[in-house]
Amino acid sequence: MKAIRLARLEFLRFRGPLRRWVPLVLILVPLLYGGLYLWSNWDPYGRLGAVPVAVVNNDHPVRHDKELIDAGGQFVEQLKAARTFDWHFTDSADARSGLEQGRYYFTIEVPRDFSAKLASAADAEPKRAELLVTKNDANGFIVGIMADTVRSRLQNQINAAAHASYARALYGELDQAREKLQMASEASKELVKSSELGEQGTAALTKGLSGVRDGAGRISRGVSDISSATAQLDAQIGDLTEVATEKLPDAVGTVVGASGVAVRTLDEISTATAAVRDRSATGATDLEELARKHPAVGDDPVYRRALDNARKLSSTATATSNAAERALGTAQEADSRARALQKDVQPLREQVRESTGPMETLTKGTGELEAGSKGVTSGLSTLVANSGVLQTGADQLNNGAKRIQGLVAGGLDQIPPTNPGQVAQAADVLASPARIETANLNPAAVYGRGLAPFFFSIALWVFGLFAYLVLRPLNFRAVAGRVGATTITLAGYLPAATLGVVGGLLLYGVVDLGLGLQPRNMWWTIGLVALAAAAFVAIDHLLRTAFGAVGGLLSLVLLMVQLTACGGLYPVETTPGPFQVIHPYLPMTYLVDGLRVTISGGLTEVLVESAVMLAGFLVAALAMTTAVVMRQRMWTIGRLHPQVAL
Amino acid sequence: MDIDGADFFARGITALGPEGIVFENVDLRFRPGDLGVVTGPGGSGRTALLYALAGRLRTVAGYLEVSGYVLPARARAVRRLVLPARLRPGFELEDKYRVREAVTEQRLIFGVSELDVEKSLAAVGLDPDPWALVCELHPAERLLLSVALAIAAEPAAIVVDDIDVGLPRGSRARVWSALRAVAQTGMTVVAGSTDAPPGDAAVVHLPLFQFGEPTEILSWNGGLR
Repeated sequence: MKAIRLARLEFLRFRGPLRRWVPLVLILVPLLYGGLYLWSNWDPYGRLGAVPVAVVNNDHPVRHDKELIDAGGQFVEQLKAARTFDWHFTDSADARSGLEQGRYYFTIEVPRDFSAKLASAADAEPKRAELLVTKNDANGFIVGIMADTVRSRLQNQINAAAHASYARALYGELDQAREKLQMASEASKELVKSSELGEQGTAALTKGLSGVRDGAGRISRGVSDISSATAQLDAQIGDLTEVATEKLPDAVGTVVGASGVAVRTLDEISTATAAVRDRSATGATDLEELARKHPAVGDDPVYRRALDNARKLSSTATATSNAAERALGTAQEADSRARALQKDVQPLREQVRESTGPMETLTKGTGELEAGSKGVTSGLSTLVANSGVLQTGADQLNNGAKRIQGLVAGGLDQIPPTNPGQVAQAADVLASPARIETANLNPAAVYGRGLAPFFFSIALWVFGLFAYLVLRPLNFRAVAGRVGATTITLAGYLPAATLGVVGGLLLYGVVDLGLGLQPRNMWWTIGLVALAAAAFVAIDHLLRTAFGAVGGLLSLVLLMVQLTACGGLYPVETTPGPFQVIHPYLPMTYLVDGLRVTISGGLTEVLVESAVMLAGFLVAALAMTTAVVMRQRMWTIGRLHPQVAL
Repeated sequence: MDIDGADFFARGITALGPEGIVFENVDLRFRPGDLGVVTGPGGSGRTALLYALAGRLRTVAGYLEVSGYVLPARARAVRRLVLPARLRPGFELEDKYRVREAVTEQRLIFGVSELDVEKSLAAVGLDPDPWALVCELHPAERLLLSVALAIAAEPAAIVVDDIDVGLPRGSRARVWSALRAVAQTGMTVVAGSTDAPPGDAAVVHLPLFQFGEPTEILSWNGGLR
């Protein structure tokens, strides 16, 4: 609590018209530093559209397969469409001089053979088209890096243009190839047709051949039938004639006679047996009646034996009678069949005499033989006919194949022969048809070398700022005495200037020996560093002499303004308007410009201008300090009792 | 050594600072060969008045004339006549100089010879070790060294402020008598001190002014000491 109250009291010390602003100014220091810096560098990449870049289109459009390829023109159109930078479409000479003088930050040149090389896409060995981007680190290092970052965008645009050209060239080629292919297709259609004909011919031939084979089979079968039938015919004709005409009628007559006798005999037997049966039955019945009338007789064994014998006799007589009747029936049947046979023998004999079976077979076989031989003939004639078709088909087939071969060969001629190496190379070229060659008029090579001018400037300014915090700007005993204002000014200025020059040279020496700054021109670099140290100290001397402690603050403000507006980092075109307006009036601008020339290289005029400007700032500052010294021989209460002091 | 001393005449002069009146309505008359003393406590505007008399501070009212040169119009001429020997914050010996370096500086500024400086040192009764640092000198000797270096240039008048600052009482008499001796050469000596010196002197007393506590005085060029 006590600490807080004491702290509050510290603020109360700042009373008075000027002193009361001290805390406020302190509060504003971070804003001044950070705000200014961020303001100027808020979006340098977003403001690339303000950075002037020269575009030179030296391309000569070429005609490739009736297509006009103007890749350079297309590239230019694309650039116009996308205003990545502030493109200036100009000629080589202007681009070159503008780049040297810093009117352009870099240049893009489309060479004469750009389209021609892109049109070579369809060739066996396509060539990669090249674009030339020329930078100049004498105009700033970061802008080169910015150019590099948009390089991929640029590359894409070029590739797009190139691919469009490729497409045109390729479709031209494709049309031709398509024509050839169409012809090949027609030819192959004919070939197919021909082969169909051949197929049909072959099928017919096969059929004919099988007809021949069948016919031959039938012939052989017929022939064998004929031979066997003929053999049978010989034997059978002999036998049949004998049996049917001689033996058969006799045999049949004998049978008929025998069967008639048998029937008659059997008829007699049957009648006899039937009488025996009837008598034996009557005998048995009489015996039984006797027994009934004379039961005693019944019991007599003789009677009984007689009865049994009578009964057995009766049954045997019945069986014999039945057998005789059956035999009669059979004999009657046989007799009727023998008579029927006798009846049939006559036609048979006639049939035998007329028998023509083998002869018919013979006739039939002969017929088949004839038919088979006819089949053979017709099959052979079909074969002959079809082989003709086949010949035609084969001829057509051959012609068609020849035409296709010719067309394919023609197509092949259009498609460039390749080997794996060429293919790889062509693929590589086609994938990225354009290469961006980067050149640099005055390369800084590394970031440190590129930004050394900027950081040297800061270093020297900060020296001046600090120098008069410890050094006395003026010797007032001298002011009181009989010494000219110029002398007093120089006497106050020289100590700081000497230290500044030595400090600058020390910085230079360490950076050169330690980090390898290796400026293009060492003596100019040293001279410029010394001159700038002298000029910056003179400016700080002036501020400090004229405004005292407030001068120190002003120097800090100037440092910040110059950091942001000297163009040491990003092109000044990417900074807000106010920075661009004050840019030419800042000493740091000229140290940065000059050191770029002495370190990376560049126009001597720029270097001379820088040196002259810095010398001008030096002289002007000293002159103004002198004027201030003259005025300061008279004091004010404000100076007697400075409200703010360091 | 006879000097044509400066003649100071002021009537109702007034000076203003950022915070108001510094001194007001001051009348004075110092004649050639006078030991003119402006007395007043710190913050009374004494130093400012001495600056004005030396032609180095603009007055806003009244009439001020030095040897016929009316200020502020002829300030340049007045500054040739009147040389501040010690008038802080502007005119003061550098502490870190050796005596001989202070002498060299003075010779460079005024183009005086070594002999002139030796005579001046003798005139104020000083024989310092040339190799001694100024800050190592006794405060009285430091004051007298600055007086000696100033009178070596033989101005018509010198201005010496803060006579009694840091001076032991015993040494003050020595300083005053040395200043009287300088005045006796005809050179007008204008001195500022808190208290008036003993003996004969043209004394102008400034009352403590009413603007509150005196403004903190920080050295103009002392910086980061």
